[in-house]
Amino acid sequence: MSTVAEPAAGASGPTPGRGGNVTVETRARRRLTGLTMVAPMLIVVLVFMGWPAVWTFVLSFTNMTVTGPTATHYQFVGLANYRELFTYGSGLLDSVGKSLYYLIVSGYIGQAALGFLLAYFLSRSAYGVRAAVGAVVIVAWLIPEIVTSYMWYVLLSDGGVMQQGYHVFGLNYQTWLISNPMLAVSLANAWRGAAFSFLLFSAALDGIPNDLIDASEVDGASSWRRLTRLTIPLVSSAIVVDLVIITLGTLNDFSLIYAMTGGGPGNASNVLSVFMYRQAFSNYQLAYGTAIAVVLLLMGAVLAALYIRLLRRQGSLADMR
Amino acid sequence: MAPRSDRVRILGPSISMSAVGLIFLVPFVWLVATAFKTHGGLTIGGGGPLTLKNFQTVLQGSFLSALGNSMYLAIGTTVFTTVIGIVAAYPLSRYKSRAQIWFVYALAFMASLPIIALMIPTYDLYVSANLINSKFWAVWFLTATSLPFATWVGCSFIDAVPKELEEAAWIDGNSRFGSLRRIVIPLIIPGLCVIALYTFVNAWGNFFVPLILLSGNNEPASVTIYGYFSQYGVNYGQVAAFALLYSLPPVLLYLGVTRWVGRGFALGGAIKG
Repeated sequence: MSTVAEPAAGASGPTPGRGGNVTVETRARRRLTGLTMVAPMLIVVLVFMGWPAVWTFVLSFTNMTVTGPTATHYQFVGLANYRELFTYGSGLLDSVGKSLYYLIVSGYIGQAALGFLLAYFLSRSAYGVRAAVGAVVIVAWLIPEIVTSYMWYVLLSDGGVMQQGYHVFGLNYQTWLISNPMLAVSLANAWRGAAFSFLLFSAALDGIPNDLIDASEVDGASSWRRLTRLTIPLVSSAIVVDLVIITLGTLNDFSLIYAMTGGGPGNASNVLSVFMYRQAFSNYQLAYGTAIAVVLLLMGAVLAALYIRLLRRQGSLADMR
Repeated sequence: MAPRSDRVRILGPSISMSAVGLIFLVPFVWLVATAFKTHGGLTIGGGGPLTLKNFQTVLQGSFLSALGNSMYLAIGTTVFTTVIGIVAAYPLSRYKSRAQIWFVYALAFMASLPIIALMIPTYDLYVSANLINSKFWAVWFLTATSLPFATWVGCSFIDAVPKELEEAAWIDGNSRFGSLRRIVIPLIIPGLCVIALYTFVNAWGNFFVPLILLSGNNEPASVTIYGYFSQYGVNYGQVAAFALLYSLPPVLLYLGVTRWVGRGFALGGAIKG
């Protein structure tokens, strides 16, 4: 009886039936179906992602190590890890600086600016050039990160292709992996990630109506003016989305740097994620590493919240394409 | 007249972009050249006669089993993520309410969190639950970290399917699951392919999750290649051939999917970067 008396909210049309019978879907039934369908996802995410996230915070207040007596019999030590981390000379400040360098040089200049230039000038190039260069850039983005690291590691190492190139011009090459490791990893990351911005900006540039460009040409605007006064403002929302996504991705990057330099020489390329990993697994200070992880998580959370605000404001959370 | 001025106008960009393209090409030239050389080294030139022997060597033994492990992780993660994600996306897309909308925001938020920050506690939990060094359980961690994004994108794909089509199916006596299976899924297959492509490429190339959770015989190709980084006197030809084979699946999959659904559409699945 109640099945008929309680129709689904807002259901003016037909509702799903079962086995050939057209019945009215009740609100309770609707809710149950919905929950059943969401449940597997929720359980997997809560167990394998939610629980580690909570556990990060818990461990950061303990003295757990990888080996030794405190590996299993750890104790709560309050804010000791944080006090150590926020002491001058802990390496935190240094790592934040390295991460910012990586973000600006490889993320903003290397990926975003290069990606924009590629998108802008390739759209004005011959078809063959556009197709070929676009393909190379995209393949660099698709291949596994560790292969990129390996190729650039070999390329920049002593006796590698970069040294050969220097010799052609009679220059002396000291491997960047040692003399300027941040530049070395930034170069590799720019090479790897330019395609993402390139694709995003290509799509945005395609969306600019041709008449607008034609009209500005008729008005006699120079190509520099067209770029700065017309094109860039028209794709500004794509630029903002691109920069936020790049910030999220670049600040959390670990694999490329860890594989190419291991954070070294010394601490010369010790970005935050590598700093965290080395404290936890090279110095065996698991709990101290989680305190750094908490810093990373909070930074990530603030950025993620910003990103979502942005998508909401553009009304594009559901339709992000 | 117009074609001629057009040709002049594209000359500058074409030349400068070709130069940029050539610079981008250098690492690939080294990799491909070395993979086919008898005595490959750090340089592009030299290295003796061309050969296929490197490929023969890496298609057996521990090299091949590392590729097999990568395949296990990538396919397992892709299947679980796509199926669980799309089933969860359906009610989130169809039952619009305030709570549902906030749920989708929460998913977008989780999809943007730094997974690397979760690796230490995950290691600890996996050790204490005795799940460490198991490919099966590593797949579940990869699945969990791929699900928020897959579900979120899945929602927007299902949003695009008109409700009227489902209503017609309900009149024919279908349940929610029935209309999902018979109406919605067939219509969003391109979207499913994009989600699967994105999940596969990420799981296939992932380095830090297996670095921490897997070792020995369970190592995937990414961890195997990492083992060759600082080794001197290593056989560069074999490593290059291995890296080349390891790089092929994501590229081929991308080509297949974009050719079918279109590049702009495929970007929707990649927008997270």
